[in-house]
Amino acid sequence: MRALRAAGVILLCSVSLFALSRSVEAYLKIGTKVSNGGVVSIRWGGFPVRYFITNRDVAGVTAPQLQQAVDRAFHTWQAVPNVGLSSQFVGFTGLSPSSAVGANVIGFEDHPELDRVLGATSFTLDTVSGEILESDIFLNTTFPWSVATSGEAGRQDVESIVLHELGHLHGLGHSALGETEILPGGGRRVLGESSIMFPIAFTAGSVNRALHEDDVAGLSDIYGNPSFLAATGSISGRVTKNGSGVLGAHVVAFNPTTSVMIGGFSLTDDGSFVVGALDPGTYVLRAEPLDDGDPGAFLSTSVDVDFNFKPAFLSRLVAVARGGTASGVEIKVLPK
Amino acid sequence: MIRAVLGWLLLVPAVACAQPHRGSIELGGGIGWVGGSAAGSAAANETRNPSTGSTPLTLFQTDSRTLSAATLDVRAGVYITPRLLVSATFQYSRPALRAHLSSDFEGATSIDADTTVSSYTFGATGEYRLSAGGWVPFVSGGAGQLRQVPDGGDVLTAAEIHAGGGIRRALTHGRRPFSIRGEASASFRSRTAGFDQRHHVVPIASAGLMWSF
Repeated sequence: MRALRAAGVILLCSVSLFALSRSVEAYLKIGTKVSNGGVVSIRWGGFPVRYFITNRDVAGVTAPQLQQAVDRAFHTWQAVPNVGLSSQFVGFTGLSPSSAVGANVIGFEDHPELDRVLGATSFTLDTVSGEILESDIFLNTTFPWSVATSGEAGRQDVESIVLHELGHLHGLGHSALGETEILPGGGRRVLGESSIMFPIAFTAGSVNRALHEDDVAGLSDIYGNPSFLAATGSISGRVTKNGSGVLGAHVVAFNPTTSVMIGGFSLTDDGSFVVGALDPGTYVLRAEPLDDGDPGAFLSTSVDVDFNFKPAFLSRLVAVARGGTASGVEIKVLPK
Repeated sequence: MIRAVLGWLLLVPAVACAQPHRGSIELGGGIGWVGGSAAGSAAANETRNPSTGSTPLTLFQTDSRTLSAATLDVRAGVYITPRLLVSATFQYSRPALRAHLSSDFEGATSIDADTTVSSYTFGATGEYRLSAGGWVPFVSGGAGQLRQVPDGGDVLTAAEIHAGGGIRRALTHGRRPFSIRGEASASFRSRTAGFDQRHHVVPIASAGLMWSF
């Protein structure tokens, strides 16, 4: 299983990412089919995550510098409260991420065939429980890299990209909280994003090393303790067009008090969605087509995503109570 | 001269009966109006790709307001002196919280989105009569607790302080007179169910029927 971060354009993932629909979901978690036929979210069974760094330098970045950037990125995720993540650097290894078996390896790797993929995360999973047994991350040497504090023109920031990939390593899928434009020569450019888990990276030379609330919500959902779930609520409902459900709509819940945005998706034929991990408060809801990236970056390629509708707001505000679910919401959209 | 004195003596009992005495109880209720207030503006901002600009990318904008609403008032008080009434008060209203959603980055039609907020004010009010007679002006002031519950949401509590004035007039005379009462006041609320989470001052007007005994 592999999850990718793209440079300029999204490539189809090599395997499907199953979007899980659970009552507390606020983003996409990576799911996998298990032996009983069900789909479960993947997660580590215990911590720390012990990892190796490939002992390979590239222009502008030595292996120790990569290790330091990875350590900073791990700590950024570990700073999320009530989650309990931890990691441990074991040492440098001669193994590349793709060749390692039985060890978690992060390092540079040559992938000239993936000319728009900056990095990718792969997994070895327990097919019964969905537990992550091993995860490896490669950064593509096709691109120039940097660990400069403020970024370096024309080079991708290692820590920014590793931060995204570590989100995958912990079980998060892609978020659609971002806006893009199509470039004249093909591909897409990000205009803005509200999640480190948006599948397309900022332009080379930029740094993007902070988590957003959507990222925190996703990680808290996967690993959060019961007090987190008790302290937050969710909104559930449907996205409909001419009375029928819309599959694959991106739903955003925005709290005007905190200016926090959390995303979700309609994941069934009847347009049902759940946006979870919401702090108590009153929310604005908005639905839009999943057209700021390749839908395969978000949902299984077998999902017949509906793009033919205009973005729309829900005509009422929705209050979320602590530990509660505001249900029965219907966002009505119109065809383009 | 004698006629004038008699007339005054004859009037005294009636006026005295209309005026409350220390320890008199007064019950009343009525309806009113609470004014609206701004409830904050916010932008749904995304972090801008530095290569495309330096300001946040605004997905859409919200400008919110709590609308004015009718109120239901209930009060019960006791006269500390013939001019000073101290009352426990309760006020209920259901104002709408409205957000105007606009400037959508992808062209979603601008709309107003509403929800209703149940608003309860429990408090104490002092009322001092400035004169005696037919139309009796008074000044009033007090404080209480404001509890607001957006439909489906959690209870928000805040402090409430109000000051104002009004006028009342006895409708009947005797030991248990009825009177009408009108009041206008300014209500300071330390926090409201609006999005801005800040204090507001809103106008309140009310009219009601009071019964003393």
